[in-house]
Amino acid sequence: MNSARSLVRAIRGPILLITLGTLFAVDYFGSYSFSRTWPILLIVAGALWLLERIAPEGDTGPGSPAGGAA
Amino acid sequence: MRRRGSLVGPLLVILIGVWFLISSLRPDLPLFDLAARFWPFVLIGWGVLRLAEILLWAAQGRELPRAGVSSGEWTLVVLICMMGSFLYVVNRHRPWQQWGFFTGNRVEIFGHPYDFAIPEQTAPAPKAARILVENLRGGVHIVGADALEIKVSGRKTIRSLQETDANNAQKQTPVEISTQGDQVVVRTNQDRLTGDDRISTDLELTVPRTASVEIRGRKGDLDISDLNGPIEVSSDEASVRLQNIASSVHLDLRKSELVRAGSVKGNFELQSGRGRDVELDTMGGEVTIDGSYSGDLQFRDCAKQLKFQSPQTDLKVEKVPGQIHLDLGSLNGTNLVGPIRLTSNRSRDVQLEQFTQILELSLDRGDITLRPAQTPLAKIDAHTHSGQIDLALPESAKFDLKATTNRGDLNNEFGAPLKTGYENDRRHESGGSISGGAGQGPAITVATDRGTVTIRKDAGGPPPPPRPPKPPKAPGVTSIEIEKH
Repeated sequence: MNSARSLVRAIRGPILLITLGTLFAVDYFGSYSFSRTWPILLIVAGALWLLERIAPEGDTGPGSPAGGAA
Repeated sequence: MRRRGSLVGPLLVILIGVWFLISSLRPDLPLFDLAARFWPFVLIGWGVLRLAEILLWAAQGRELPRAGVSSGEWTLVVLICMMGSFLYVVNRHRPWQQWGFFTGNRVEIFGHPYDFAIPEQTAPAPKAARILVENLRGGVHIVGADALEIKVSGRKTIRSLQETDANNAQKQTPVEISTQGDQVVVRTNQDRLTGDDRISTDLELTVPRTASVEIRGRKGDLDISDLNGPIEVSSDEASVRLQNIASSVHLDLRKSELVRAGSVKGNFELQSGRGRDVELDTMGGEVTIDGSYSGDLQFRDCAKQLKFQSPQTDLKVEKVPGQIHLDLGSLNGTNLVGPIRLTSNRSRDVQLEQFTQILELSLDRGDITLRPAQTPLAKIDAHTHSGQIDLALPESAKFDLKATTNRGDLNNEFGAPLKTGYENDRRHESGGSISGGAGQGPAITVATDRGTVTIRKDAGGPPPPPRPPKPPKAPGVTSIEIEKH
């Protein structure tokens, strides 16, 4: 089984990727340029990091490698 | 269950293949344009697919990857972003010649520069006006005139992806003149715009000649001329040109490419965190220069004391009727009035000609070439830890010389009455000194720990071939100007 923490860690990349793409799309088709909206990336990255920290380790016991075995 | 790779990579490759296939089969479709505009959705699609995949895996209880997007994939993302932005800019701003990456000194990869003329504004200004110019980005050009008014005009450049955006920004940032008693404030209001790095305002000001001027900015070159009042400048990054200023000047710059001042009658103070070239000519007041400079420094015709202080070098000269040229490796001075004091803790060759009064010179490394030329001589105390010493003394002068090397040759080309004495027979390993003099004169002490000492006669003709070759100096044209143009 996977721990909640490893799940958060795994979805961090895709979510950042979506955010990045959205910001560029907003730049091109919306009214806010990327040079103004880039801090959102930092906020999202920070939020995901925070989430990873507070997520419970789940099934994997302390000391066992993160990510857990299936 | 075994870990399985992501499906997104293969999908991306298929997508790219399909794109190229369509572009070769149907060259009439605007695929280039589509790619330039819609590439961010590739990122979004990639992210959404990957996210769905991971959530599915988690629901199935499969082993999850340590990172949803690997570092190699991030590299690809960065490449896509760069390529996409590039395509977008190129695609948007045809004709091609319009997308200069460098216009002026700003890097403009995103967006297009829109220019706006600033209509001329005039406001009355008292004789003793204190004028404050607040312009975060952009140049300021100020000229003093015999009129009791302040005139402002100029040009504004706004970098934006859309013209409507640029027009809004232009409306948000009016150039304003506000007067309160003696104080006249000229504001470009760039701070009203979020992301004020997109805007640059170049101002042209005509002010009463008697006014005092203060300029505050972050980045932009300044050009000030024909003013009688004091000038104060603080900027993060600016090249400054000053011409014909009757009062004092204080420049506080974090970074500067060039500071050039001509005909400044008051005191001149320059502080620069990281400077390059400095060129001063016809200075009437005290000159104080502080900071670290990587280029050429040239001081010509300074009527009062000149003080130069950098982390490596400390120079004080009472007057400079001639000139001093200074760069990272050398210092050349001609026609100087002492007392002169120079210490340098980096490698520097020093050549001084036609100087009067006391000279105190201390080098860590570097050759010393001295030619005081004028009689009567004054006290000289010069030493270097490692370097040659070449001293030319007038034949008729009175002096009491002691020239020492701890390890090196002694050349007495002056002849009698100087005496050469080596410590022992093994000349090069021991060193020695040349000493003596004609009549009762000032003490001249030169010393090197390692290097040759040469004492010669100064016949008063053209200077002897100096060991460090002087940089070529065409009249009126300096090496700096050649570099710049």
